[in-house]
Amino acid sequence: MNHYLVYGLGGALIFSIGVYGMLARPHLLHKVVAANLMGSGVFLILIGLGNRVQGRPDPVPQAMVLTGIVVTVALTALGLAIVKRYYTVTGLTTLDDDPPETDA
Amino acid sequence: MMLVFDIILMGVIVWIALGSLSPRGVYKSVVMFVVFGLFMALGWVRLGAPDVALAEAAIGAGVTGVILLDAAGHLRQRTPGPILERHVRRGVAPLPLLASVIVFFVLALLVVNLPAEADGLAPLMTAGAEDSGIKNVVTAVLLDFRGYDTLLEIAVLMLATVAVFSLRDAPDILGRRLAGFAGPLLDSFTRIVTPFMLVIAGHLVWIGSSEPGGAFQAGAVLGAAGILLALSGFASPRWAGRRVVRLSLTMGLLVFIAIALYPLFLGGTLLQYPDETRKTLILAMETWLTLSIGASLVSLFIASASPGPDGGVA
Amino acid sequence: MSIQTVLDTVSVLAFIGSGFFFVAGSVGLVRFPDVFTRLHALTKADNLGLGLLVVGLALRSGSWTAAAKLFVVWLLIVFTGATACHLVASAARKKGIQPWVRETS
Repeated sequence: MNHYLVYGLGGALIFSIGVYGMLARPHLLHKVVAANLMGSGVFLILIGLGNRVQGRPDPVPQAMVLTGIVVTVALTALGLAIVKRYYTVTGLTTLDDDPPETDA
Repeated sequence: MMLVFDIILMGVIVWIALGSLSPRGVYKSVVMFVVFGLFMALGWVRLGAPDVALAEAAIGAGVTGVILLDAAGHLRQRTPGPILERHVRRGVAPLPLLASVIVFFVLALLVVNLPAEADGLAPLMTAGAEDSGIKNVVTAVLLDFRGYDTLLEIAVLMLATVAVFSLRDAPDILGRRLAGFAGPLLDSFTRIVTPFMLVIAGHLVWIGSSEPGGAFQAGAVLGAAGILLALSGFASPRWAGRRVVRLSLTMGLLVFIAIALYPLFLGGTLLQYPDETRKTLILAMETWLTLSIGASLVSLFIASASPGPDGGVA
Repeated sequence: MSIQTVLDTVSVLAFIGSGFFFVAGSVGLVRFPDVFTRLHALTKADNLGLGLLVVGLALRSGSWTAAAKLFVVWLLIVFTGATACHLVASAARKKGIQPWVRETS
């Protein structure tokens, strides 16, 4: 197994963990973290694939990932601002609008 | 030998990623996510991407962690008990699990089926970078060959800052001290470390043309310095009024656009720097970019940070 | 024995020592009973661990400027760690967390 495959497959795994977290975790903060995980997974795949080159690794994916990290922090900040505003307005930290289940 | 290390590192990263989604409270998630960012930085070093490692540690783990922690503190008052328990009691949700497994297989097939040896754009880039006089190929790619991407990225960052400003629902935390932390130790620490951080930021920008570094990493250090000042309760100085803040946020983008448009007057196309002034133009752009990125990161934190119940920062 | 071998051996020994201290700090973080003891384990062990790591790297770096930069990094981390430790400890005190006392039965 090549050096780059470990990180490529690991990136795929982290992306799918992010997908699961985004869909399954009700708390909004977990959704934001899951979005970040998806981003990190993609970055791992990009730079992992860029390491197939002989000699110094391909710099183009590295530049793209650098851009991606900055965009991700912007996304996270805006997402959290929205979450906090939502919390201020509704008092909820999830998107569920069903009333909480009672223990029946 | 290093393959074993890589496998172990990747396993730890995956484990921490799972932990950052744990249903047991948001603080644990945020802390695990910060640790995840730091281990990712290790991974970047192993993948031969030191610039990305610097940026991930500073921005991905540092600034993101601060913003997440602040949000977690703000949201902690009411975690919906019954709803969370309903989801936890059912164990793993089946449909999302199916979706994520499918996604994983698609991506894994993609990764495995690509040719194992491929040159990509590396030879082109390395040759081009030698011509442009910038030894750090990643910086050359970022600001020269794919300068358009960087231009749009700065615009995105600025837009996000404006949007976060518009969502602000509490007065500024500038000048408010951390609850109970108004101590001499934090003050002295900030006073001593902030000049260091400014020097380090300048060093990173300057050295980014030949060693790992560059505008983003330097901007992240500047942003961290600003966040530290805000958290230590230093009131913003009198000259840092609204106009100065807005200028510092937008100057990076404006200078970039100006330098991008400048070749049009010389008969070239967008972003086609003339050969003699290339290195100076790129350095000028990087300096203003650093300032703007630092200002954006500080503003993102200050505009979204909320005062806690006791008047300090939550 | 050339000077290079001596430097290499000493640096490897420094790395091993650094690893030991980091492991000790992490074990302390997991096993100690309360915030204050954990802080103690973390800061003491990690500062020393990082110091030995810096020594090992400086011996391998081959230039005085690189060694000086590494030393400055260590200084900054020590400074930051001490301040952070103080802040966490005083926050814990303000929250009313009492230091762990061994039960005498």
